[in-house]
Amino acid sequence: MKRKIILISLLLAAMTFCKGCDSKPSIRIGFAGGLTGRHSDLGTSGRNGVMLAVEKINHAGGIHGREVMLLIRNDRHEPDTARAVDRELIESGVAAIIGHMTSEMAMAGLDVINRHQVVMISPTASTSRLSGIDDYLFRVMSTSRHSTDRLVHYGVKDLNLRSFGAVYELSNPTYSRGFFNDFSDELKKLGGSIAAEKTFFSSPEVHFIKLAQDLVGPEVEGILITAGALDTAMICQQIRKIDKEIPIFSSGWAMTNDLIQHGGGAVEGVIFSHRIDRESKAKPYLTFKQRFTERFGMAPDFAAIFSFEAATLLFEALKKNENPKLLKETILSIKTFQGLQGPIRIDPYGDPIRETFLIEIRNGSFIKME
Amino acid sequence: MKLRYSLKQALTLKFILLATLPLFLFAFFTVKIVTGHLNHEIRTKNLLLSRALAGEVERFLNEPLSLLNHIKSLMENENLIRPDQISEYLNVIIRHYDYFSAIQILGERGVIRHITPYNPDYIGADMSGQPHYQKSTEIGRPYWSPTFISQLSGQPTMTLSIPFQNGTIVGYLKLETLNRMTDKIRIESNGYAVICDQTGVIIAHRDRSFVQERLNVSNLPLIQKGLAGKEGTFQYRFRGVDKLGSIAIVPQTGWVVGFVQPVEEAFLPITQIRKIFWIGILLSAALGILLLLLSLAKTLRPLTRLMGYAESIEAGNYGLPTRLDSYTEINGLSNHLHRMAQAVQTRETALEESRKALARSKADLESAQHLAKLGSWSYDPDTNIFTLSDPMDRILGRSPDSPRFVLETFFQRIHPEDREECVRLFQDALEKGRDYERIFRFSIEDGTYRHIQTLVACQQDEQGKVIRIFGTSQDITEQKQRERERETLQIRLHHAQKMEAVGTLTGGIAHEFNNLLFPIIGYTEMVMEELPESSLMHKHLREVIIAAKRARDSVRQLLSFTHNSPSNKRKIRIDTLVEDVLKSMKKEIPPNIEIQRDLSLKAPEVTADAGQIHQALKHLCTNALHAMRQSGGVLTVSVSETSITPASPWPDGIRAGIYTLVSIRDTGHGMDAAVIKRVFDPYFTTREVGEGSGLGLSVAYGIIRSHGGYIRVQSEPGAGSSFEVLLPAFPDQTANAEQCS
Repeated sequence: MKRKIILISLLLAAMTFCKGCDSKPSIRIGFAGGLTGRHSDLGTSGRNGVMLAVEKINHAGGIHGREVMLLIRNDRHEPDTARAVDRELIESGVAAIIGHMTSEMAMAGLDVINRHQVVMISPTASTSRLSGIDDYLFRVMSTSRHSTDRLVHYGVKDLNLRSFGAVYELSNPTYSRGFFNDFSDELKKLGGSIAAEKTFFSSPEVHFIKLAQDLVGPEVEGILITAGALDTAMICQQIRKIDKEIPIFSSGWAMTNDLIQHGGGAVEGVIFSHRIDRESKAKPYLTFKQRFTERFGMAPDFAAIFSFEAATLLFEALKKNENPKLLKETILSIKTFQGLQGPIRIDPYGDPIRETFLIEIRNGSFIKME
Repeated sequence: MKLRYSLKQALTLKFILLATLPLFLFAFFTVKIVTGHLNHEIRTKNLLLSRALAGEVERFLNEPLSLLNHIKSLMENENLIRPDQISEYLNVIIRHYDYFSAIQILGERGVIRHITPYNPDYIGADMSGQPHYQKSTEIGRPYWSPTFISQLSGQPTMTLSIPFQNGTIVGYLKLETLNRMTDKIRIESNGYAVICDQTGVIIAHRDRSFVQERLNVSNLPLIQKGLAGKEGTFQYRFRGVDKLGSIAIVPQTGWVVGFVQPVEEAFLPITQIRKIFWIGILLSAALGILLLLLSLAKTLRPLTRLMGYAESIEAGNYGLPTRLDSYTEINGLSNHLHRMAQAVQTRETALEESRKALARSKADLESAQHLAKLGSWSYDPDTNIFTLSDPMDRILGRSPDSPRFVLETFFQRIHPEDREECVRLFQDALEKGRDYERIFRFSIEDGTYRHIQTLVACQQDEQGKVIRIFGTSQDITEQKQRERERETLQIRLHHAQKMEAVGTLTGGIAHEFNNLLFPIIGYTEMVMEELPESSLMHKHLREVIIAAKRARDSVRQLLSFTHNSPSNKRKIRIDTLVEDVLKSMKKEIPPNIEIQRDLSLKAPEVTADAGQIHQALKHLCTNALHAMRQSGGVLTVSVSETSITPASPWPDGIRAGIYTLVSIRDTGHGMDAAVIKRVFDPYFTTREVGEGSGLGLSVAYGIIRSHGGYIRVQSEPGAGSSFEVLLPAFPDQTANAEQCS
C-alpha cells in the first residue's frame, strides 16, 4: 500500500512537472511595417490584420499544436530601418516576415530576405518592379499596373479626360513614381497627357495649397494623386478649395480610413482602382470585418484585409509544411488560396492575380463602381 | 514485504514527525493566512493606485474641458470676442495651457474656421469626415475621440470636441501629458501604469512606442474587463509572464487606466515573508530535530550498551561491564540482564557438563552400536521415508550421497527368501500397529547380503493410526557366521571324537584280535603240518587258516584306520602314484566307466608312505567306481598344487601352506547329507551285504589324516561325488604358526 501511495505521488508529481513539457515550441513570425509617422495608417492597419489572424489561429490551437508568436517591428518607413528590422526578425528565428507595407520598404528589405532565404509576404507592396522576379518576396496585392490601366481607361474613355495634373509623394518613390509612370504611359497610349507633374516629401511642413494651385490649371481636366492617405486628404482639401468639380484619381495607397477621416467632404468622388471591395458581401470577408471591428473599434481597410490574407497564406503553407526552409516552395505549391473576397491565384513568381475594381468615395465610404 | 525498522529509526521518525508536523502545520496555516491577507492588501493597494491615477486623469481631463467650454462660451457670445481676435485668443491659450497641441474652430459643416497654430492650408478644410466632429455633433456634448494620426503633426493624437451654437471646437490633446502622468506611477522596478482609450488603443505607457504605434491591446483579458466597465485587480499571463493588473475606469471618457506589475514583483513581499517564515520554520525544525536526535541518542545510548551486553551474552561472554547508571527502567533492565547473564552462565556450565556427559554417552553408545553393529531408524508413513541413524547408515553401507531410503527400497533389498515374510510383518505393523522382531537377510550398498536382526515398534495416535514405525537393526552376519562355524567345529569335534573312540576301540579290538589270531593261525598251521593234506581235518584247518588270515587282513585294515599300522614314509610323487593306482585297478573298471586324468606334473612331491597312500587312493577310486557301476559315468582323477590360506574353504583346522590336491570325482548316484555325515565311519556302507566291508573310506581317511593331510567330500544325490585329498607338499611348506580357522 505504501509503495502504491509513493508511486501515485510520484506520478502526480511527474504529471505536475510535465505540464509544461507538453507545449510544443512556438512558431515565430515577424511583422514589419511603418507603425509611426504620416504613413503609419498602412502599418498599423496591416499589423492589426496580422494580429487578428494570429489571435484567430492561436485560438484554434495554433499550427499543428504550435502557438504562433508574432514579433512586430516598426520600419518607420525608412529603408535602413526596414533592412535592420528584417535582419533583427531573421535573427530572432522567424519563419517568415509579413511586410513591408510599402513598395519602397519592400524593395529595401529584398536583399536581406533573399540573402537569408527567408520568405517575406508583403500585403500591400504593389510596384511593378517587383513582378516577375524569382525571389523570396511574395505579395497578396497584385501589381499597380492593373490599377493605373484601369484608372486611365476609365478617365479617358468614360470621363473623356485627356489632360491630367499629377502629384506624387517621394518617400515611397518605387511605388508612387512607378504608379505615375504607368499611369502616364497608359494615358499617352490613349492620347492623353500629363499637363502638370508635382512631387513632394510628406511632412507637416508641406505647403498643400501651393501644391494644389500648381496642379489645378485651365488645361488640367483631371487630377492624379499618388500619396498616403493624410497627404491625399490634404491635397484634396486644397483642390476642392480651388475646383470643386475636377475629377480626382488616387492610387490605392491612400484608400484607408484616414483618407475619409481627414478628407471629409473634400474626398467625396475620388476614384481608385483597387482589388478590394469594402462593401463585399463575401461571408469570410463579413466575418473578418465584424471581428476586426470588434477587436480594434474600426472597420478594416485594404491594408488590414491584405495583411490578414498574407497571414492566412503563410499559415496555410506552414500547416502544409512546417519547415521554414521549404516555405517558398510550399507557398508556390499552393497556387490558389482562399482570400477574404474570393480565391486568389499566385503566379510562379509569388505575385497574386486578382481582379481590379474601380472604387469611388461616396458619402464617406469606398464604394465599388458598377 | 513488510518493512522493518530499528527502534532508533522508528523513534527518530516518530519524534521528527511529532516535533515537526505541528510546526509545519502551524507554519502552513499561518503563512496561508498572512499571505492571503497580504495578497488582498497588495491587490487593494494596486487597485487604489489605478483608481488614483484614473482620478488624476479625470481631473486632468476636466481642465481642457473647462478650457474648451470657456472658448465655447466665448464663441457663443459674439460680444465677448471679435472673429478676428479668435485666432490670437486660441494662440494665447495654446501657449499658456499645456493641454492641446492644436485647437480648431469648425463651422457648421465641419469646415475649419480658425486654427491654432495657424496654418492657412487648413483654413477652409473640410473636417466633416472626422469622427470627433461627427460624434460630438451627433451627441451634442463634449466628445473624447479615439486616437488617430494627426494631419498637423503626423503623430498619434486624440481630440476633445465640443459642439457649440455655430460649430465645433476641437482641441488636439497632447498625449505626452498623459504619458507624463503614467510615468509618475512607478512601483518597484517593473510596475507601470497604462491608459487605453475606449477602443483599447494604448494612449499612455512608459514604452512610448506602444503609444506611437497605436497598439490596440483590447485582446488582453485585463483590458477587456476594463472596456467592459469592470474595475478590480486581476491576474493574467502575458508573453509568458504572470502579471497582476488593477483596472480603473475614467468615467468621463471610458478610458481604461491600468496598473500592471509582474506577479513575482507584486507579491515579492509575500514571497519574502513566506521565505523568511519558512526558513525560520525550517531552521527551528532543524534545530528541534538536532536537539531531538541528541536527546534520542542520549536516551538510546544505554539501550545500545544493553544491546552490546546482550550480544556479549549471546557470544558467551558473561562477564558484563559495570551496571548502567541511567533511567530507572534502563537500570532495571541492566540489573536483570546482569542477573540473567549469571543465570545463563550457571545454566550453561551445567548444560555444558550435561552436554559433555551426553556426548560421551552418545559416543559410547555409538561405539557400542558400532561394535554391536546396531543402528536405529524410523519410518514416517506419511512421507514414506526412513530416517536412519548414522550407525544404521554405516550398517547399510550408505553414504551421505545415497538416495533417500523409502519403503520400496527397503523391501527390494530384502533377500527374496525372506522378503515375503518381512513385507507381511511390516504391513501388519503399518496397519495394525503390531510390533515384531525378525532376522532377515538384507542387501547392503555393496550388494552383499547381511543378516539383520530387527526390533520393530509402532507409534500410534489417539485413533490408533500408526504415525511412526521405529526400531533398531543389528548386523549379526558375523555372529551367524561364527554360529555356523561353531556348529561345524562341533560336528567335526564330535566326528573326531567319534573317530578317535572308534579308532581306539577298533585298535584295541584289532590288537586283541591280532593277538588271538596269531596263535590261531600258528597253531592251526602247526596242526595242519601234522595232518595229511588230503585229510578232511587238513581241509577243515585250511579253511580255518583262510578265515583267520582274512580276519588278520581286516585287523590290519582296522589298524591302518587307527593309524597304528607301521608306515614307511618317503618323498613320492602323487601323480605317479595315482597312475599306478589306476593301472592296478584296470581290470576292475567296468567298460561303461570312462577314466579321465588331469595329473599336473607341477604338483609338488609329498612325504608319505606310498603303500598307504596307494591304498587310500584305491579305496577312494573303488568307492567312485562302485557309485557308477550300474549307470556308468566318468571317473575324473586330478592332481594339482594348491595353496591353502585362511580364506580358503577348508574350515576344519588345516594349516595354511602348499599342498598337493588329489581330486576324485564321479558322476554316480551321489550321497545325501546323512550318508555324507557317516561316510568315513568304519563299517558304514550303503552297499549290499557281501559287497564291501565298510572299511575302505574309513581306512582312506585314517591314512590321509596320519599323513597330516585332509580329506573332504562334496556330494548331492544324483549329482555325483567329489573326494578331495590334500597332502602337504615336500618339504613341509605349511605354516606352523597359523592355522586356518
